[in-house]
Amino acid sequence: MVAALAAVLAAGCGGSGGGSGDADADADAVTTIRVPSWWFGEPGNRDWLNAAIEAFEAENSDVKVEGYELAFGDYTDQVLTEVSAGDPPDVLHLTLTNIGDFRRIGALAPLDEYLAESDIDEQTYVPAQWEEPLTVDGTTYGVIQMIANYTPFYNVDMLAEKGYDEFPADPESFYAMVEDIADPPEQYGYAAMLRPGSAQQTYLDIAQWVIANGGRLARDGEVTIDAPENVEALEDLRALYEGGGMPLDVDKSTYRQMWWEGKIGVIFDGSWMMGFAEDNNPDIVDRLDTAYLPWPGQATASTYQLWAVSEASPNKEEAFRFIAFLQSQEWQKEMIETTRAVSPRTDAMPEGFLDENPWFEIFDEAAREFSVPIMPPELLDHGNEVIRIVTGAFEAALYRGTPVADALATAQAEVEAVVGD
Amino acid sequence: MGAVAAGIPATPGGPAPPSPAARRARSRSASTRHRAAGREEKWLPYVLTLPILATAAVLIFVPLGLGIWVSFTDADTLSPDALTGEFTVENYTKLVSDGAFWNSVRVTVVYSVGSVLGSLVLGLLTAVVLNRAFRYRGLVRTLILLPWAVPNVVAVLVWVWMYNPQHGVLNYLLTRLPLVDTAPSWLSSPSYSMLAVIIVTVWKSYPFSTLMFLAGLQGIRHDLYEAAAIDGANGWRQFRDITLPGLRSVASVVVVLVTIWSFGEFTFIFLMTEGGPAGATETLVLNMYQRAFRFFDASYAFAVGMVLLLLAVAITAVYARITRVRW
Repeated sequence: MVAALAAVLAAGCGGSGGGSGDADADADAVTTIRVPSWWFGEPGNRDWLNAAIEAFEAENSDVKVEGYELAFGDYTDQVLTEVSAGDPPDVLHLTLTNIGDFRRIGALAPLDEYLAESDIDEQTYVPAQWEEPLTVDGTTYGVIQMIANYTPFYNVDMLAEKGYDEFPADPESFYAMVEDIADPPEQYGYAAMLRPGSAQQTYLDIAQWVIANGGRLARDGEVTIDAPENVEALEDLRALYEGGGMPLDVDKSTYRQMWWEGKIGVIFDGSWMMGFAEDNNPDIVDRLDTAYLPWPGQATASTYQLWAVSEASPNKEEAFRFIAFLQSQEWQKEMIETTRAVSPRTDAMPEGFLDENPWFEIFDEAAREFSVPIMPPELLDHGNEVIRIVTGAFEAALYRGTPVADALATAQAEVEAVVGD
Repeated sequence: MGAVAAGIPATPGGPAPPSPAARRARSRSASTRHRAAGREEKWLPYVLTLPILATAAVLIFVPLGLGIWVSFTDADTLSPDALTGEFTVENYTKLVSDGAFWNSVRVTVVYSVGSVLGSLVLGLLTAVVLNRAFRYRGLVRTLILLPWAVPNVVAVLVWVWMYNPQHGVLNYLLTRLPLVDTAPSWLSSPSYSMLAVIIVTVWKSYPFSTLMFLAGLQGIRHDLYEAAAIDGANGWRQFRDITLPGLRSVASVVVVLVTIWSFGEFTFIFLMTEGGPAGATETLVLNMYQRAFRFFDASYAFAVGMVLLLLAVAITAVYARITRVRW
């Protein structure tokens, strides 16, 4: 506790390269904006971001971008400390699950006046840009940077070896396939982030199953965590876990690596995984393919990574100028080609890209047709706490043997108490 | 009138002895200097400790006071604005009915007791071994102290892999023991995860106990053991009646320090389990961290921190009283 307060005080006293511009300064002065992101540490993603920064600075000689890496797992902590100390970064890289918390504490600047002068509008952007949590009560607080949908990314050869020429189209066939492929400890059928140690990542995987099974954690303003569809989905996930088809106690970075090394048959992950596979094991790329989720409706959990501007930033105009540049049609096309991420722009698909990368079509289609936000808007103001409660309930079911229905009933009551405050 | 009183030298050729007035003046001067020196000695310790006190005030006492203040507000974040929030005791009333908080209290006590006992026992055993003369004692001492030199994060990453239920070396060895059919999922089992975290903590902290006990053992007089041996006391009796009483003061210091450190331990638990599974390893420190940095509820986090502080102070006071350590 003492160390935390001392750190905040020290951070507040520290000089900063961000926000160093002065409105009254000489016209030739260069404004530096600070942009932290985990993308600076990820292969492919950092190439795009660094190229965009270089191009932006060439076109905007009055602005310098100070980009720096903050790991995904540490991002909220670090940025919150800087926000609390009154010296936040100018541009924040947030997600669907934490924008509500940052907005609740007044850390985000409204962007409507800047958006009005940009080409980010209802014709060029997905509808989610104008819905909660990005737009609340008519005010927009963030700009979607990329859309993350989670669909099956599978190893064609591993399935074929066990007689599966196509990806299963129903849940029971999928469960059978996972067990058929599994040959621990050499290979496994499916992997998910179920090891205690990262509630955020575990929640992403849990939510995928709930949403795919037609469940929701909240509907029409009501908390519905213990709904029958949710219980059924998590009971199936637990059965798969206990059946031996999944690696135990491995974190996401480890099982992703196992996947691109050909040791896991299928993961539910995002389009960027192809870029990771290309960088780490190019030989496997031709053996990878995507499929629809094996549940009726193919509803896919969807989350966004988004840009926001700090309310306390003295360089809001420059910060949004940079965001608008990154989200321009030209640079969104570059993003798709370089990182394989799905763009929120409706006019950014590079010509010929889908012909060269047929596996991408499912992600693009899911983003427009099947995506369901991974966190319902009713719960977003306390997103992190809801994540903690829901993952805790599932861990109780998975590791303590608590019936899933009972665990989710407890979570239902806890979440109702939180969002009701 | 004597020669001295007349100012005539007492010995021929020597300096004149001082007159009574001069002697009185000299005495007054000496007395003044003595009083001055006494005042200086009285203030000197405070002056010399002023730099460290100022540093402690800035880095410890001021933040501590501010934290107590913030715990009586409804602040969301640790910003300077938090100090202007409205006074409220709601955070403390909320603690009473917060199941997660009481779970953290229980987990903290279990973790602390386990870490202290393990560190104490292992430290004492290794100190007793190192106190004997044997070949390669220097090498053994280095190996025993090695865990202390390993950075915490590195240690955790290695242990996490060792604990892996399918690929870890621990379960590989366990399943080769007779009568062991299945090995546990160390980090994902509510029953074993606390044990797993305690093992890592003890492994990392016992070298400190070893060094403390070793210093204590070398301060026990050897003739006591000789006398006991002559009287027919065996090794166990000597250990019980000479060694343990001789290490009492050292043990009390070790217990107090390791207890305080265990209350504040964050790295091991955060990196291994983040307080899971299902809160099985969520100590008060983890609970505070979640509240402050994940749930954006700083004032409540500080209220939890206050309880943690009071708990640590209370336990320290109890230990001090039991062992009658004079501070």
